[in-house]
Amino acid sequence: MAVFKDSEELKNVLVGFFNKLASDETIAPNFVKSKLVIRFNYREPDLSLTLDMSSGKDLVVTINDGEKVPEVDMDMKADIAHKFWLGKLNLTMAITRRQMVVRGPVPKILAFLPALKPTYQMYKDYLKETGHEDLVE
Amino acid sequence: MKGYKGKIVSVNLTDGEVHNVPLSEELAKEYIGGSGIAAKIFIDHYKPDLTPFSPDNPLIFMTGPLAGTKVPSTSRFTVSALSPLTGIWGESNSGGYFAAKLKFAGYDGIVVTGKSDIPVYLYITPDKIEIRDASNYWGMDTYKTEDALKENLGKNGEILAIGPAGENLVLYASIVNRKGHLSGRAGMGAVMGSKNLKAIVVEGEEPVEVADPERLDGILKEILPYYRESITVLSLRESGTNSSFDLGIQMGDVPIKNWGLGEWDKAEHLGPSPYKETIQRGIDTCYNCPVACKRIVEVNDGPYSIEKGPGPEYETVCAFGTMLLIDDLKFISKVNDFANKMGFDTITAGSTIAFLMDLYDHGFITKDDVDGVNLEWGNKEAVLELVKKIPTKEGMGALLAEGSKKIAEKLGKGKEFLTTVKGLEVPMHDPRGNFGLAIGYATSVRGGCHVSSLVYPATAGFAYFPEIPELADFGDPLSNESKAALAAKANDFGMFFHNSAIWCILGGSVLNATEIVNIFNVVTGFDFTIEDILEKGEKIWFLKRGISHLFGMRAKDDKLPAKIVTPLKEGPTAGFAPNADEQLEEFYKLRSVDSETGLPKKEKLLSLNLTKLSDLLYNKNT
Ligand code: SF4
Repeated sequence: MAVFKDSEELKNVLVGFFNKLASDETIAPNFVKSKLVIRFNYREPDLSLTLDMSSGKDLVVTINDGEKVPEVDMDMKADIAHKFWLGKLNLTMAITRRQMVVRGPVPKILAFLPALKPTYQMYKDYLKETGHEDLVE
Repeated sequence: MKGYKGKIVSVNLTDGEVHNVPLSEELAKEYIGGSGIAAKIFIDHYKPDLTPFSPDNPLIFMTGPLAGTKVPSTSRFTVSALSPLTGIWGESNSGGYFAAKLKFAGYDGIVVTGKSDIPVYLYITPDKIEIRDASNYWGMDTYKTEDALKENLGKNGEILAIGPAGENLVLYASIVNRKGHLSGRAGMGAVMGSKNLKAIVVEGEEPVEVADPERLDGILKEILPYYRESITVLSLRESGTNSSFDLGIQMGDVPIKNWGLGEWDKAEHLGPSPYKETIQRGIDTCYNCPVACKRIVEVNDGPYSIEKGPGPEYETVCAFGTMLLIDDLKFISKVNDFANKMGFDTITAGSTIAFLMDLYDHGFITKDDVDGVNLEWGNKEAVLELVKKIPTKEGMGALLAEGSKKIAEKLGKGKEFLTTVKGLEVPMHDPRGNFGLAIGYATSVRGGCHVSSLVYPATAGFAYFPEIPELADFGDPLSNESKAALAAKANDFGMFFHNSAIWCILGGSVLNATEIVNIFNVVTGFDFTIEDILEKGEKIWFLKRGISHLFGMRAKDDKLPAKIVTPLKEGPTAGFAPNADEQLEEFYKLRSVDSETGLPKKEKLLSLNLTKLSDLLYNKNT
């Protein structure tokens, strides 16, 4: 069974999470300094979510945004995304097995990776705070 | 026979005899190449009283049939002998440019026995094999040796050389090609030094013939785009083997403070971004490899300044960084430069110093035991002072030159701080976040190693062989289930893939098993299936392990050190640890290995046609 029952739930969880992340004084600066525009193309359920950090100051989250041109594009099932933010996904394996398809400049992606470290715990905390404890394990 | 040159150089340095030995099709088909053929040669040379430094210990350099061809990432060679560090089967695997050149000189391998009275080097071309006086080069570091030999002989040759560490029999001495391509592990450089063999120079331009060049071109056309598209390859090109560092920290793969700490906030100073910003000056590659994972670094100011040259790999970044709580890439580059020049392995050296720091920290040793240096975690000056004593064995260097296990034996204490399996310090990948590594380390034929089998590439995720179910589906990384079956097949396919054929474990990882076997067949003209290959790999694994049994290795030696399987209190793997004993028990059953002794059942050896090994193990009079 899929983790998220529909696109609405997926949107509520991930947009809420990214907004929390965007307002975190420790984590957000490490994200925005990348100046990346990242688009996550989720399926099952479907949703396209864009993180715009091009200003170098703010992280702006938009949904199904056809206007912004992403520098990094990532395709995956929503279940894989959930596992990733829980810190339980072997990213290398997911990419090798094409469970996740990543397009974009590798140097910038590698430079961005350290920023992710504290987000796994934040995602778990966020799920608990918003009544999604069942999604944590 | 295609792919192969069909000839091996045989040199006896005691009497100066040189032979040209045919490599038969039968041998090639059964043992493939690389350390597979080397293991067969070794057992043929076996004597019960053999010791690592006895002249009879055969030092075997072997290429595979793909070396020197157009197939990317395959121009590699192995060096094998009885290891002075572990006392069992030893082998080391290297890229660089030597393997292709040896094939162009007309040979598949070189077997060196005996011991010369004076320092010598071998000079091998299609027309001659000569043993030449190397007295003028003895004492030189590997960089100077390479430069001096090239100056005297011309630039067309490829050179393998040992440095002072090999000459002085440091038990983990390495062999170096072009300053940055090392046969690092298990002390093959010390075996070379024990024979008074300073270097090997090969020269030649004879191409390697392949069985079906047209078909090969067709396959290459299909696979070359992988090297442009694979994120793993692009990451390796961008940041070398250290590209995995940040992810490794996040997944708990990187050992910290001699495997005793799960998190360290300064680790971020050692990742690929700081590497690029502070020390990297360029990239480099091996013969015909589009990956180009090698780094060129330079430090032009401060106490750790070094000239432009080969940079530290991931393993060195961890062994002299996270393991010792040192977050300075310039310092690590300095140590790496010194280890390359002197010719010794940084994994064993770094782990040995981490072991001593742990002993120091726990009050088992004091300043007086370590030449008066303050061996506190993170003390760079102390580390550098000790490292400099390794190649000459000056003072504390004599003990350091033996590796951590022998130090613990000599001190008669501190075994609980060791990180060795069968005497070889395990590399920088933690089984507490990836339980498969436990059985991988336990069953690696040369001791604690992540590149002996395919367990690490499969579980780390950069290699994928969907045609071999055990290598594709091995369950939750934090469970012991399916790991024994994974290890069995990872050893079998790995013995072929990167030990005998010989693909680079990194550069070859873009291929699946079908592509690998197809390419091998197209080059050699053989007609193997994946099943055939797995059988041959199994035989090679049993042979190598059996050689170690002949030198006393038993089930107790398969055990993992507590230090690497004790759950950590903090970090991404906090509270987790594999049950290596449970994995081993299942592995023994799968392999027809006696769980009490660790020995293979006699019937198993006979079914694999390993008759000589069976006789040696079970009929003592043979
Ligand atoms: S991937 Fe790296 S180590 Fe392997 S052959 Fe290529 S350059 Fe050499």
